[in-house]
Amino acid sequence: MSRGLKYTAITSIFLLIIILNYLIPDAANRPNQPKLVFNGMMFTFFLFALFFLVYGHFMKRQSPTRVRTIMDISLIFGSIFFLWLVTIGKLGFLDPLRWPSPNQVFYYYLADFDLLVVKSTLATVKRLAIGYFVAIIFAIPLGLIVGRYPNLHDRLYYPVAKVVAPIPPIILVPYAIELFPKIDQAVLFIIFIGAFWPIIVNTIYGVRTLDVKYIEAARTLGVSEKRLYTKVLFPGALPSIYAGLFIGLVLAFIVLAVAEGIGGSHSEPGLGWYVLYYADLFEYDKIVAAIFLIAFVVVVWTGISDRIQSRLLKWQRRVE
Amino acid sequence: MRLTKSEAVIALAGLLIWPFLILLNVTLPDAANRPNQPKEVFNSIIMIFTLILLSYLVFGILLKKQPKARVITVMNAALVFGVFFFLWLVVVGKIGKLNTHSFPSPNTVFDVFYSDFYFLTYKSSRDSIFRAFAGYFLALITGIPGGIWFGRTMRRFEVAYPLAKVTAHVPPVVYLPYAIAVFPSISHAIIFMVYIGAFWPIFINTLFGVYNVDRRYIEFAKILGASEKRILRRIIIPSAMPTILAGCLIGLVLAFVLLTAGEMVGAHTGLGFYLMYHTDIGYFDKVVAAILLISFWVFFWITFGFDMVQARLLRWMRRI
Repeated sequence: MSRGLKYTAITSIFLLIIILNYLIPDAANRPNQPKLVFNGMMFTFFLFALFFLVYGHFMKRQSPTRVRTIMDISLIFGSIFFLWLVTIGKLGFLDPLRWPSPNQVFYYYLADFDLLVVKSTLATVKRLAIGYFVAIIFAIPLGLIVGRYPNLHDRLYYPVAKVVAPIPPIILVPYAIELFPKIDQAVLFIIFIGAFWPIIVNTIYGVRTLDVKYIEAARTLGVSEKRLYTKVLFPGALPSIYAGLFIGLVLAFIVLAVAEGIGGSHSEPGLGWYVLYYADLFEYDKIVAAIFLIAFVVVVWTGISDRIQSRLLKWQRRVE
Repeated sequence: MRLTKSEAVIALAGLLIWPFLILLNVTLPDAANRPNQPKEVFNSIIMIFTLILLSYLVFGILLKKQPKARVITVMNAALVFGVFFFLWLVVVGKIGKLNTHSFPSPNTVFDVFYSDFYFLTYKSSRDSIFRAFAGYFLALITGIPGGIWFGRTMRRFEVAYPLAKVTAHVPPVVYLPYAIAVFPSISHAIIFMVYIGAFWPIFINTLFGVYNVDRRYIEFAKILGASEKRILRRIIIPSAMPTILAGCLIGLVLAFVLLTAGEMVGAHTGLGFYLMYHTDIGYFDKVVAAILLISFWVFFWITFGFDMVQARLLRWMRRI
């Protein structure tokens, strides 16, 4: 089969899903499912794949590997949604309480728009952004300084970090909620702790494994101490710092979800709270909807940070 | 082995601060707001710790069985944490600053290990450690082979990497309610969560490690007629090993994070449950005891389990 035909077939899976969704009657145990939102999302996916098919493949405006990767991923997503829709929504396998059909799940983005999509998501993103940002502001400069002075590292930082860094930050959640009057402050503190250690550990690693030649060359050229930090140490440690930022984000998100689940309420919502609250009410369709929303937030977040990363690491590509 | 003057001071101070703590605890009167604290458990644990440190010093310095740098690092850590316990004991236990409800003194906290020996020190630890290792082991036996398979060719890597990056960022805590609904028992659900948490870092690092193996080695081996199995065993796995082990360490840390998170949110046994239960009824001495015990286990398994396995597997690196 030629590549164009194969890609066209993959793209049309999403259209096929929409058509099937209208043609095949709903399963007896899940009657009258609201189909609008799911179909809308499938149509968005279809347009996305169509863009790469036409603009990328037929008009050859994008690299063939990129188009191939997009198509492979579209195939994976398309088959998952197809199987989910047919087996659960149309044939009615598995019990409807625990295994909701895609139609029901995605409908909540419309039905529960205010609480789920607006309030909870905004609150979570705001907390994550603030806590993560504060952790970065403290951890990177501190890491640069500690990595620069071996005595400070060996005598004070390393003994403390070796013991304290791997302690799960989650176990501080109850204590933080007790000590801080508002949940936002407690959550901020916990995210800070969670993201701080991976970032500082990797910053120090980056500084200490940096080739001494660079520092000595800068010294010989009479570079001031301040410029040494901003022009040599920080860019040199940047690849390692990015590894730390990745782990820090994963940890911050886990900790945030737990802290929200324990401390949140209707007046102080958040995605973690939303999931755990509806778990108590056995509304699993809302939970699945929230999980997909979290994945979406993650996609947007990592997309933005990848842009920043490739901008900041431009020099590395040039060196290679 | 000769110690310099500052190293000798650190080693001596790190050792002597611990018996000094016991002396202070026995001679100074208790604070007025915390009368008659039970001192035996704190004193005996500090005593045991002192003896361990002393024998380590004798073994390391006098019998010369340990590298000097490592002995000094250990004594440094002992000094730093000795100062921490000193401040805690004197400020909270003896002078009586801060309120008795949220800030228990070390004497009352350590007494919990003895008075609650069965539930906290034995049963909760046993359950938690079993869950952590069951999940972690599953992550190892699926993450490493999976990462090798997906990292072996460029096409598989290009598909797996974006998917893994998104899924790895979704906090596994949000799957917990779902896992509890689907799995036969809560223990299984928590093991599943630990598995998910540990799986992604192990998988992603294996993926990267295998993908970034120097192609020249593989080409050479192919020219020399090595079979695929031999290439895997002799080239790919050894050269990806440092990256894989880095992922395994992050996985182990995340396994403990998710273990405590899962137990705090859902379980009826284990250290996380113990922590959360006593938070809800407001016994903060037990909360702090549980925090210390979890920290101890995490430190113990990473230092005496992981680091030793790593040193053994990477012993070829030291030779280089």
